[in-house]
Amino acid sequence: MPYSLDLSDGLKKAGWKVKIREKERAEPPHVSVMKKQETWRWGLREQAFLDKKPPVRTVPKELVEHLQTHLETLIAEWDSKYPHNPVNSEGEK
Amino acid sequence: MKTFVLAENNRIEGFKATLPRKTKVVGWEAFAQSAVQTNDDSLWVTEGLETLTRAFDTLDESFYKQQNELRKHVKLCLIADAPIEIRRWLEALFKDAIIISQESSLPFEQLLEVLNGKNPERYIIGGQVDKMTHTVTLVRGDLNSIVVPLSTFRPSGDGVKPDFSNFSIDDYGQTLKFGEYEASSDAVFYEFDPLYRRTRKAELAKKEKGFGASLRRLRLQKGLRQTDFSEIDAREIGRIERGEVKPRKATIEKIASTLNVDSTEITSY
Repeated sequence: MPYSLDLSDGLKKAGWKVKIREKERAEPPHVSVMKKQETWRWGLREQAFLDKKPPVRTVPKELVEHLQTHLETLIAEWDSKYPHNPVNSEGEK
Repeated sequence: MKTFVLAENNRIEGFKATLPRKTKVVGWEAFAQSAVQTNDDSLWVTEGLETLTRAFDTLDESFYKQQNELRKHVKLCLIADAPIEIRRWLEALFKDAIIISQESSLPFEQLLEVLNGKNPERYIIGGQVDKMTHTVTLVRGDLNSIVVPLSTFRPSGDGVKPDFSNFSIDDYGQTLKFGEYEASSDAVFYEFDPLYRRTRKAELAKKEKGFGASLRRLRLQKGLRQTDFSEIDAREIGRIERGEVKPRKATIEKIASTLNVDSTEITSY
């Protein structure tokens, strides 16, 4: 089953979700931040949003801080689902 | 395109309270008149065969004499398990008739949000797994379809496997579920729809746009290692991916051959 990051009640009530599903775009490693019809890809290497759209300002600061706080767990979950493209493998040599 | 919900007369008020503002709810008695008199393109959405059957029970010959108007302007999206006869009849009458089973469609309110929202083609509203052809046919929010081989849903590294007999859609058309296995519609479209891929690539942050970044994305999406390119040294692949060297045309052709894509397509990934 997909990994879902536990969020505060306020974020959950507002409809926010953070997931790593079994099939995502494999590169770069990321989590999907979702609310209704919108999804933002937050890069686990960059610790920043990967796409220009939807506008990043819509995502609450509290949620981004939560991602930063749980970064190690998120990386471990990604690496477990995508062992052929672990987060620390950028620029294999 | 205007969206109408065709509803049982006693459910109209209930629907009005919950549906997106742009959506108009019409009872089956007013269906014929509204459908034929709407000059612009319209999409009629309804759930369950009963409502549709009642609507058609009220039709007389005059309705069928205006069927050319229906075929010009009116699309129908029916969420129901409809027998083949009903499907043929609807396909003959409407400009487009999309029929999706209730089990594999988005929840009705989410479906209407997608149909009325921006870029409906980016979302999936329904689909059907066909074990005979080993594919899943996905209906997008613009009512076009895309066929995807089931082989693309590979087990994840932590051992979660797709259960193709248990298919549903969630997250406003952004997640395909095969039992406990979830796939992002974005990943599926990115892999199988070149137009979608180009649009999304234009939205990427700048540093992700070079040939090397495209090659790396495509290689990893296909589950290959840098050592899997038999005619090219893995270190060379690494240098290309990091943008340290610009590959020659012959090298690009060899890379494309291993990745099983046209060489001109690599940069679209």
